[in-house]
Amino acid sequence: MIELRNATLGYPGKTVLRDVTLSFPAGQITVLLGPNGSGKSTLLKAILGLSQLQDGAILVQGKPLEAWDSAALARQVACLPQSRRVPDMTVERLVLHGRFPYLRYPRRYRPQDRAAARQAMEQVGILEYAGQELKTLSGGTRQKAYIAMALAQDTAAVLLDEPNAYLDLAHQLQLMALCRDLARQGKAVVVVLHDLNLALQYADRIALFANGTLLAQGTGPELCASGDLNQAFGVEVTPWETPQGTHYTFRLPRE
Amino acid sequence: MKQRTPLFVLAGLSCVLACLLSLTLGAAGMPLSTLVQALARPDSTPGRILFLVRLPRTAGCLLAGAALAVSGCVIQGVLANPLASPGIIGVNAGAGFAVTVCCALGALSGWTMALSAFLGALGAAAAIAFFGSRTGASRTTVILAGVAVNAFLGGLSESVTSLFPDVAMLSVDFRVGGFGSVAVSRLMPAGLLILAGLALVCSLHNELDVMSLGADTARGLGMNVKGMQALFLGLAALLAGASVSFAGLLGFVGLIVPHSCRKAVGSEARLLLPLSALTGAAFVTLADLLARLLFAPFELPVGVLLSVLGGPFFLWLLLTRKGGHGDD
Repeated sequence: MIELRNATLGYPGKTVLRDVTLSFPAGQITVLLGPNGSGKSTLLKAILGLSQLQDGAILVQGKPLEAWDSAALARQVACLPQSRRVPDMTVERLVLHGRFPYLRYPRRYRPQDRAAARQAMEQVGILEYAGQELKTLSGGTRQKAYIAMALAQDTAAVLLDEPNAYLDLAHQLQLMALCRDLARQGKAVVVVLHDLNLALQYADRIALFANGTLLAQGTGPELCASGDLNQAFGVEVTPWETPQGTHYTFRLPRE
Repeated sequence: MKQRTPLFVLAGLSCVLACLLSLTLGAAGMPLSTLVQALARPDSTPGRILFLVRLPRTAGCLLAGAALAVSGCVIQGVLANPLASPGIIGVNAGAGFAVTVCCALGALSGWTMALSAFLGALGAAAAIAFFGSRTGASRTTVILAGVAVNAFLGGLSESVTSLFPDVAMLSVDFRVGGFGSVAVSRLMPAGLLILAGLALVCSLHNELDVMSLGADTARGLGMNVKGMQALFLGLAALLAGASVSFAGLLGFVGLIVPHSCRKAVGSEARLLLPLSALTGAAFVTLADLLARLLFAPFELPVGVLLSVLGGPFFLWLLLTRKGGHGDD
């Protein structure tokens, strides 16, 4: 669905990531992992054209990124950015704005847009808050409202930049289950996470970033076995087979 | 859900009432019966007062009030800065400088004045937007840049006024803002620009809301953020500039009215913009009436009254900001 070929990314006068070749296939959860500042958000921003593609190529549905106009791209790729405002509007209105790329001037939301927004709120479990002002809600519910907006966009790929920030454990697990649902529907789901445990538990594939480049990519068990996770995070990761599946423990390396 | 319809009815009725009071009260009292007579006979003395003085003045108040209030809403939304308004960031001063230059050059036609004022306002808005985007300036820095732009353009205008002391337009009425000398010839072009600007801004309410979600989110929703920012600042400059071209440097309307309306209906532009337009129109018309009647037979320019109200309001806004920046 989205493919990076030898992509070098950054901002004017500054390169953040070099020579990244990576694909985000439909129907899979790809987790981007890496220490702070390793370029994960820059990569997501590059797909939206918010950071600079300095070399190489980014393809969306096989077509180069620069060939997409912004509205058509927004009908293919939805993104939940890391930094979000708390606008003074109701949940329903925010989610409805997810339909923005489907309309032309003068944009008036149609019954089918309202239905899509309603369905997105239902899917995320916030329909009961539809008429409430975002400012009056908890951080977790606001986060869900933003995720519902990304779902209302009805795209083939969903990019979530640290969606678990501000969420308690139960909400984090609900969110990862939602990501699994979206992948089952055939969407390419890309999630930036800091929580290694959640990443190993839910990711179909992990892309590991460190020192300004893509260090490794593969499934969780592959990256554990290769020692790449240990190297990137400076911890020892040990997989344990249990009747409920593989679980992982972490500890600082022994002297 | 807040009950919104009564608010719009109230704002609409306030406009109608403000109009009636503005038409009937003044140096020469004009009860409703005389008003009807004046309408029927434009050549009579009451007719002349109505068509040459009261109607242009009232229409000017309504148009300037609506334009400045909506311009304030747009500027606050686009710059994501609740302290910004056309008066504070120097947009009015840009328009004022352009009008001053027009007067000095003797280019006094309504269209020349209105369009020059628009270009002056646009220049100031573009300077502030450029400064903000180039430096990643904080909200407070943008306001301080506005102080600098205001002082700079004010200084230029004063220089022109000193060099061309005879130009009638450069009176106190213009410098502080007032409707004492509104003429139909000057009002008509500016009014048309304001009505077109108001219609266009209101038709873009979803765009303004999406922009208020932040540049990253707006871009993710397919918006050409830079282009839209430029369009909105252009429209804000059009509204403020057109209003300055006949009403002078009225301050604080673009601050007081949007904030009061936001308290009532929140920030959703589809509600905020029309309510601000109605409230701004009623507010300026009533303020002008008060300025006319307070020390009758002497008349205060309404800008003096608005500054007396607006200064403390701005300080109150600073006090109640709680240091919040609205980001999650």
